[in-house]
Amino acid sequence: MGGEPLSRDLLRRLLFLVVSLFVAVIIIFLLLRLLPGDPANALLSINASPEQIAAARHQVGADKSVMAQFITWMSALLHLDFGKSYISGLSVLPSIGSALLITLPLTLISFVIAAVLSVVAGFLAAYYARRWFGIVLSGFSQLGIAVPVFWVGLILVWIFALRYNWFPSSGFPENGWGDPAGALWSLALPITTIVIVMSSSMTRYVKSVTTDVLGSDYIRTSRALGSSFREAFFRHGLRNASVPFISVLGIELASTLLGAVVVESVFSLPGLGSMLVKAIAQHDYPNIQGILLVTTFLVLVIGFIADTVQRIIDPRLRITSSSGIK
Amino acid sequence: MSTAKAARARLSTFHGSPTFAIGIFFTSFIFIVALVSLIWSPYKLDDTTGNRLEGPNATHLLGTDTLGRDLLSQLMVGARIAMKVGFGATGIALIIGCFLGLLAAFFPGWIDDTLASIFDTLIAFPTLLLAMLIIAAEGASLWAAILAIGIAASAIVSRIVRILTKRILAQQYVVAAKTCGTSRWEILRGHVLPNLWPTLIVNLAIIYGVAVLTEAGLSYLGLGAPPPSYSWGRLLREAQSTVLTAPLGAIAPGIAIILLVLGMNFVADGLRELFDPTQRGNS
Repeated sequence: MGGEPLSRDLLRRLLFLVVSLFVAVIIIFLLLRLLPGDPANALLSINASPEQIAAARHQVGADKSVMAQFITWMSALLHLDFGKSYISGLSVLPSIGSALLITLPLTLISFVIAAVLSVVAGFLAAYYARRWFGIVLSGFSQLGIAVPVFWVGLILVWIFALRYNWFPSSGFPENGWGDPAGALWSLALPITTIVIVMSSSMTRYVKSVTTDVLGSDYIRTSRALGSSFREAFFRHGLRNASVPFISVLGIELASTLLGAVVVESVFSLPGLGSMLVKAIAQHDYPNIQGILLVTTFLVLVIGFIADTVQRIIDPRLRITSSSGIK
Repeated sequence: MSTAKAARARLSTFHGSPTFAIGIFFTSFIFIVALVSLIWSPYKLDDTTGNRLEGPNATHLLGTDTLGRDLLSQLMVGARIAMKVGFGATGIALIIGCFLGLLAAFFPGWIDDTLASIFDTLIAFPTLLLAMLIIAAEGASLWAAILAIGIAASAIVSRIVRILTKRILAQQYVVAAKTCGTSRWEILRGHVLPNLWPTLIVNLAIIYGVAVLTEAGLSYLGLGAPPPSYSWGRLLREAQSTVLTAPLGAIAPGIAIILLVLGMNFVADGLRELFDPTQRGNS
């Protein structure tokens, strides 16, 4: 078991990341360009004349060959030119940037709170698995997995915003993060919503990993050799448990991002999710493409980081390829 | 098998896993409601004779919506849509997933490598994102949603089928069978499938729940079937603006979704316990 040096493994996976991104770009291009009716339709009223249609097709470049379209589009992408919205005429990338100012803090704050909560709750649920305390914790996490995230938001709005007026029911301060307290105040309910749902699935996972570790031979041996439970768990258990947990964290972070996308709609926050839903409804292809590309990029990078951290913790992973399974 | 014996077997199944029993109870409740809605519901869906936003009362057990339509009747029809989504998406995932997963497992080399990296990449993507991508291209409809969710979930099925099949094919008794000249088809039928289906069916139950949740999310966002549709997600979307005056309209569809999804998750956990008793209490 020699294993590769970390740097060479890193390089190979970076290459894989670039290839996946490129494949994703092609898929998004093909799906949006070939499957639907003409993207030019978004520019036209229902009874447009043939001349108007031709002009619109020329404007969006739909009259050129697919390959020519792809090359133009790709080279624009490489210059970070994502085009302009059909509806508002605004450049796509700056719009996405300002939407991310809401979506990213919402995602990251919720994720950190949910992760910390679930590590504690999951450990307790496993440690006290046969006591009422552990059973109640497990029950809550079971319930949280079956609940639609937007429904939790809806119920929180009903109780805490509409009935008791403690929090705003929707929207974001006019001057955004220029008013940090107001911004956080309007994110309080959305964050709580995401935390409730995301911490449930993570708690369940932490519990199952912890149960495995608690019943493992190495903990028993360590205990038999005289170390306290705390010593045995922190020296041997934690590192073993953290590897599978980090791979799940990567996937959970991606789902938190998507959770944020849905929850934004509940609270009418002008983030990436609201922007995407609006763009799909209006057939605003440049915006759809831009948002999907940015989201895909984020999801792939999150996965890459999770992989890298795992390999730093567990050298055994470095010798198998990403899909390696014996 | 005699009836007494069958009954005892059934009882012991439930006894072996109370989780399974609860799961079956929840899911069959929704299933029966969906079936009943085919032949009877308290009111017709276009019956707007009720008052606007009535609370629960004797004539409208769960009250009415903004147009005076009976909420219970809408929920019952919604159960049917949830069934279509659950079975439809799970079926699509099963067919595509088994095909690709077995293909990868039976043909090591570049076919396997390529497929495996595709599965790994796809699994990193949340189901909802893939579904939105497909709906952005196809336009919003119930079948687009079902197809999109099914395709997204097929990556999960593919990966499970591939990994399990590879593990089974590496077993000594399978290698021995191969050496004796057993055909690929015989190995698939005699060794792979019987060992595959327990894990597969547990995961299909989970996928069913995810499919129902995802469709509800899409419908809530207005990306599911366009109105008039009685998907639970859309009912919630419409109830949001009147939640203060008619809270039941926003609560009831949510409870229905939870019953079905929780039920399916319990069925999955229960089946896992029944297939593998060492897993008991580990869910």
